Amino acid sequence: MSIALESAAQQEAAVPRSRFWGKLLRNRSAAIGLTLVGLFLLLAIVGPSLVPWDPIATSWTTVRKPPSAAHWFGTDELGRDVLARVLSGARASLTAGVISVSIAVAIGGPLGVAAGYFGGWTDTIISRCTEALLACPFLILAIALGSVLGASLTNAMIAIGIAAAPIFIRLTRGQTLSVKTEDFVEGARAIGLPHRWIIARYIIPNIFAPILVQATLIVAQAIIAEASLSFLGLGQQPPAPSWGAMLSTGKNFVQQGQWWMSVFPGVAIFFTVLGFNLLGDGLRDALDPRES
Amino acid sequence: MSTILEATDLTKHFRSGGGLFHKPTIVRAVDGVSFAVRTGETLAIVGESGCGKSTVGRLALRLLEATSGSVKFEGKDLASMDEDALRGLRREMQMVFQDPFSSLNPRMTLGDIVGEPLWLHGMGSARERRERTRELLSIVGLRPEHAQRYPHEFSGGQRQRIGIARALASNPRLVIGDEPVSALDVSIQAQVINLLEDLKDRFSLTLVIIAHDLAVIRHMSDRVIVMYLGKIVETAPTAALYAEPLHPYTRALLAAIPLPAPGLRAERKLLEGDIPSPANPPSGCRFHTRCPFAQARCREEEPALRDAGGREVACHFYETLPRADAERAVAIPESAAKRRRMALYREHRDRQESDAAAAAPAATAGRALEPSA
Ligand SMILES: Nc1ncnc2c1ncn2[C@@H]1O[C@H](COP(=O)(O)OP(=O)(O)OP(=O)(O)O)[C@@H](O)[C@H]1O
Ligand code: SF4
Ligand SMILES: [Mg+2]
Repeated sequence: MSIALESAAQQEAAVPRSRFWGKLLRNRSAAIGLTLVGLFLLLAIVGPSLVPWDPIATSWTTVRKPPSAAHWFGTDELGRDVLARVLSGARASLTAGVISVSIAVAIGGPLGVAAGYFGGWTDTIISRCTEALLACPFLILAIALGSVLGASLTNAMIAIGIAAAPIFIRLTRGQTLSVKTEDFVEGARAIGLPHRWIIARYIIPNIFAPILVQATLIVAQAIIAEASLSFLGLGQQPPAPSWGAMLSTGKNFVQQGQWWMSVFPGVAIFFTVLGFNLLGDGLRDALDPRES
Repeated sequence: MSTILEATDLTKHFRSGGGLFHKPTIVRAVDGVSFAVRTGETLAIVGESGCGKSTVGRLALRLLEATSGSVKFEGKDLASMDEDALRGLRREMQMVFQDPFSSLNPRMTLGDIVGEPLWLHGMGSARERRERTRELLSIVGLRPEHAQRYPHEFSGGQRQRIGIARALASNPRLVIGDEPVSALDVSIQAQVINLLEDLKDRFSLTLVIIAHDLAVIRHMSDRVIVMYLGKIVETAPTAALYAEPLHPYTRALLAAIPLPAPGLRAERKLLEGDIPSPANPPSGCRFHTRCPFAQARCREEEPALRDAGGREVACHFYETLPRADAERAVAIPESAAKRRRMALYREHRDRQESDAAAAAPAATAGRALEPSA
């Protein structure tokens, strides 16, 4: 009967591939995070066409008006609709977040894997440089790089990407080192598989999950960084809207009680960052194959 | 019998720690080890944890670069080979690892795990490889349909079977098992050992089995090498070793095996003291800190591995030591139970194969081999 038991257990062990989504959605914070991120993504895409106002067109008759039936989020110092600007600013913020993190992963991933996998001099050089860069706070580094590269949204994304790269170098290096000590990597070498193949099939799939999680969390930081750069005039250039830039101008009017110009983009930043953070935490749990 | 693998004066020193202000410690994991593996035999390498067994195994496959010494596979020196030549050679030599939970890539299916060596060595078309993969799975007692599944869905014993199937894929002639069963439940150990012995016969393999005690390898090995702190202290044919262990350390290892028959249960003499660190091995005979027969000479002079009539021993005084308690060793009979077990196992295997040949879906394949733990 023990035979029958074992085969039954094996049958049960067959898990469908869609398990990942099931696990992700059953996780409450992940579900909220996914919803928030999805919502903002949707708003970034279709949002601007939902409001009748042009986010760039100025109007001298509606300067700094509080929220009303016509302008739900009020208007700014040039009479532009804040809602329209928050919606089209979503595009700049999300793009900046996602692209700069992609740049960071594209730079940091390969360097980290190379350092961890090959060790020796490769590792020493890469790690020393990484440590030096990590000694400088991420945001300061991004701002410094941004001011060197010059003020534009593209340069801001590159600056943020480079500034975040050391985080990914350190993470991938550490993950690679720990996967490398597993017997299966040694076994892969034992049968004579080439390094490229071992990295592609043995290392990367096994370090992918923590990196994806980290990337999601860093998107949140990158959105804040973009806002900060725009706030300092180094990111999105006027008149095109971005949450950071709106916050930057809006802050000048808070003292006069005209809160809506800064509060709405601030709230948008808050919820987007929250969404990415929750999603990252949920992914961490859902991607662990040993956790059911 | 010809020699398939020959290690000469193998030495591996690991450097650890060290920095600007202090010297790195040198761990002498393997220190001047020479041995030959004969074609078709099962050679066991035994010793306590940390004595350098795994390092010897890795050096033998050139998974580690030796500090000095050489390894020859069929007369060809591994150290002088480039990547390509080595890859060709690695078809012939495979390793089965100790920990079935870390030896399989969790992100690959069984089919990919077992089929990868076939792909690497360009053996057959994609279709033939798939066929062969399924066949290999059923040879080790797993179901061919499992090819789509991932390792975490299987138990330790089953995973070890997967590891064995992968090792067999490239038709190797030498398989090194680094404690292939010590991570498994005792009941499952026997099954995996049976499988290895059976495969050895079927595919005319040469086996090197690494183990940390003498219990596991008793019935499967032809010769035993006993290691202590990076050195060989005794090598002997298995029967002779169990009948009369010559080295005091071998005696201690043998005394540590639990006896199968209650009448024979003498008090177990375990070694006193801890294993000294291989970073700082004792002078003279490395065993002298724990040896009950140690004398002044043992502290000063290192005993060489000497011929002792078909076997070798590294002890100054082995000739004059009181005879080992041979009675208990003899009293573990040529196990009839084991012969029965093997017979049953073979019968089962044949049945399973004829089932498979009858093209019935291999419904029973392998399951009888593994009771749930
Ligand atoms: N990569 C390494 N770096 C530094 N020291 C090592 C390394 N690998 C092994 N050692 C040391 O070398 C010695 C022998 O190790 P080895 O793994 O060969 O022992 P073992 O006999 O296989 O032990 P076990 O039964 O625990 O597997 C140990 O002291 C170990 O700490
Ligand atoms: S040489 Fe001396 S210490 Fe070493 S095993 Fe023989 S008797 Fe014991
Ligand atoms: Mg070991």
